[in-house]
Amino acid sequence: MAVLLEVNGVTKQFVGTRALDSVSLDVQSGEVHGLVGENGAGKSTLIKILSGAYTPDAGTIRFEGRAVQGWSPNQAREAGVVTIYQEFSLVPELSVAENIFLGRLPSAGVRGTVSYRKLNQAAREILGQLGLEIDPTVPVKQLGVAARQMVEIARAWSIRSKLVILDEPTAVLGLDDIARLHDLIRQLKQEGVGIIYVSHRLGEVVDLCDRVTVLKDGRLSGHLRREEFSPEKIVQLMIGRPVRDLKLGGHCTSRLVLQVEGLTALPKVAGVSFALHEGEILGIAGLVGSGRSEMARALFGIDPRQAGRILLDGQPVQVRSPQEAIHRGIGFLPEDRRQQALFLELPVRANITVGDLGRVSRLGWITSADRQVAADYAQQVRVKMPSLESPVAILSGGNQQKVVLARWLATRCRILVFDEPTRGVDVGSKEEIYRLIDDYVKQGGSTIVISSELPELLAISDRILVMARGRINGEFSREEASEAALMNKMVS
Amino acid sequence: MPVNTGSLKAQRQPRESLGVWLGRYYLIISLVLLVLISSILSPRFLSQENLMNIAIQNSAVAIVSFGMLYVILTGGIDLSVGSVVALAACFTAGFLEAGWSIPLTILAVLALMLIPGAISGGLVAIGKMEPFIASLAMMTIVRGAAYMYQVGSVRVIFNNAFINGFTGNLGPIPVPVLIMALAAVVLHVVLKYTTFGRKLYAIGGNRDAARLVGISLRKNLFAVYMLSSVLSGLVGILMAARLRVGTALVGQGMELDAIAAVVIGGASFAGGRGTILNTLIGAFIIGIIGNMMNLMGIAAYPQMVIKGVIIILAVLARRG
Repeated sequence: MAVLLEVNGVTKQFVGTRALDSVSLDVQSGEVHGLVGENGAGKSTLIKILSGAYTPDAGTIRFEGRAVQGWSPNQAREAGVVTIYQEFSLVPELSVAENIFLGRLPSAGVRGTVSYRKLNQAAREILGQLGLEIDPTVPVKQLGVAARQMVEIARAWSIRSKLVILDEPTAVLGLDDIARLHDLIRQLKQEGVGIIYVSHRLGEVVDLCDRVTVLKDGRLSGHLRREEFSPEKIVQLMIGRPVRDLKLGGHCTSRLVLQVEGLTALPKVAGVSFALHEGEILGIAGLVGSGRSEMARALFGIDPRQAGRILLDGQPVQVRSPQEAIHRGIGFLPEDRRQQALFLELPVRANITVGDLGRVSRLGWITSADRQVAADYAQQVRVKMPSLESPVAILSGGNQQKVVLARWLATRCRILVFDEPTRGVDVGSKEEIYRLIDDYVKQGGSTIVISSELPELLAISDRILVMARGRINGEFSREEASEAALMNKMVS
Repeated sequence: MPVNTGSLKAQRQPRESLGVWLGRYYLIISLVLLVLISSILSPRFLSQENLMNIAIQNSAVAIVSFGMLYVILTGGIDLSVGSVVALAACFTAGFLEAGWSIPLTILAVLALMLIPGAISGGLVAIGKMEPFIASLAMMTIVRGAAYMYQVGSVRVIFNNAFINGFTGNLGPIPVPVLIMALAAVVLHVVLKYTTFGRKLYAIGGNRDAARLVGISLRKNLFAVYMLSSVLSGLVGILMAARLRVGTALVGQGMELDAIAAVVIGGASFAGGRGTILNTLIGAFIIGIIGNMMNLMGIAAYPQMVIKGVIIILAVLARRG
């Protein structure tokens, strides 16, 4: 195996902070190199330097033996370094084939024309080589998240990339898709492609990677070889201390708060019934596409329902819009915070109080309660921020999630529905968020937690429902639940 | 992650205090520079008469652009404002001609101008139509209605009390300028200190998130188009007084001036960012440039070209 990439003492300074402080690592061709660290540890900065988006202030980078620090994104791509970010760069309206060959569509003989026969043929070949069963002629917008990612990888493969950087590739995938992605990565590896794999999911990293580089606060925290790594060891390097085994929940009472009967929101939710008790943390497991997020959206009145009753305290209630849901004391923390929950340019203050403007205003006029309420709840959930007036965009993923939680706590709602509460949240903040959920139910709140991370569900839930094909496919008490048992119901 | 080029630039150089300072005050600085350059280029520029002229002339565009800002804050646009100005001017002349009292005329015109706003707002908020298309259609419908009402001839206004009331001075300040200042203060306060203003920033900043925290898109979008239309109606009344006629020719291209003022004022076309003060400065930057070109004797058509170039430069300069 040849050394593909050598990073030596790379440093990058931003106003006030040193995002990277003399970090070194090397990647060989045919190696899957894990890159892990908490949010803010410098992973993104490093990736951006490698892909040419940032120029390092100091240090050297050699790619295939050639010094390349300070190259442009185009130069990086031409040299064979492709970065696949969480936000995809595909054009939704164009077909799979057009996306794969965008910028180099085969001509039909005359310059400026496109031969769709050749294009689709070539795309089929590429997809075939990777063992992907995707129709090259369908528009990308019709594909699910997982298939889109496969198309991105197919594109990287088609331009003979030598180094593929994957930034949190599985954050948006369900378990079966993760397995397929990993097969694909192993195949690229077989072909001698070097891969940098950034992930928060340490189980995957341990499974997949040949070596792991751990960053902490912009510094190199350690390199681990395959023989020497385990999730515990990696976490220890990431946060500098061993993690405690945490078990939360156990505040569940017998009082029924919410009953959902035959909730149907086609095509994804087909007759879901369950009950939620005061003080309960009800976990919901399910693969992507099982209808778990759609169920939450229908419950919260975002998507229209075809059938189903919702009872609060035994009384049937109407929940036809988010407004009505909020009015009934239900809060919803969506999985995609940036797209669906945060007002990135607005200050933390406004992001917190926007959930219940009535509480911070009199006759439509915003009062000093705005600041006070925001400050109280920001403190309660311990948001780390420069000030209440900082735009929420500059906070880390974990702190952004805390802001959204503070918003809902400020509405004093009785039921909180979390969809992927710790997606994109670093290990340290995850634990804090679990504790905040626990605090909330301790004080009489009730929660539904949808998550694709089974260890998370197992650690915090009083009870776990498994969804598959739009229905509840299984129910487990805390004692009965195990990863294997849940998985069984998820895929059956 | 969207990369903010502005902040990256600042990050590259450690001595960023000047850059940040320039970034924050570039509008005021541009305005001051413009005034300095203008006073050098033309000695007449700083005369009291000319300055008053600038203030009076720009009060109309400024008020329209305040309404435009509200719409743009929500991520929309209102192309019908110029036409509404015309219709309001025609109605004003017509009602006065019919012998209506001044207060009744004003009230009736403003109330009637709620209608085009309600239609645009309804199409956007309830019909889920693209704001550009909905207001483009309203632009031609309302202009057509103004011509129909005018029936060929311009209606001359003979009510001197009306004309004097809206073109005279209150103390040392011309009435239109006073109305503009009042509108600026009220609309600024509404944006900054009311839940309505907060909701507009939220809707423009992230529409999905706004819906998910229970903010009514329907109500608020409806309201901004109504507001924009009523403000345009107010300007129509001012224009009728200034021109002493009600004509459907008035307010041509005013939507473009208003949009330009909002954009030069640094508002984001995607919504969620912009302030009344900056929009006011934006309106005056355009106004002063126009005034300068008049003083320097530049003909009307080259003026149009120069104005367009300046809008482009202003937006590019803000980015760079």
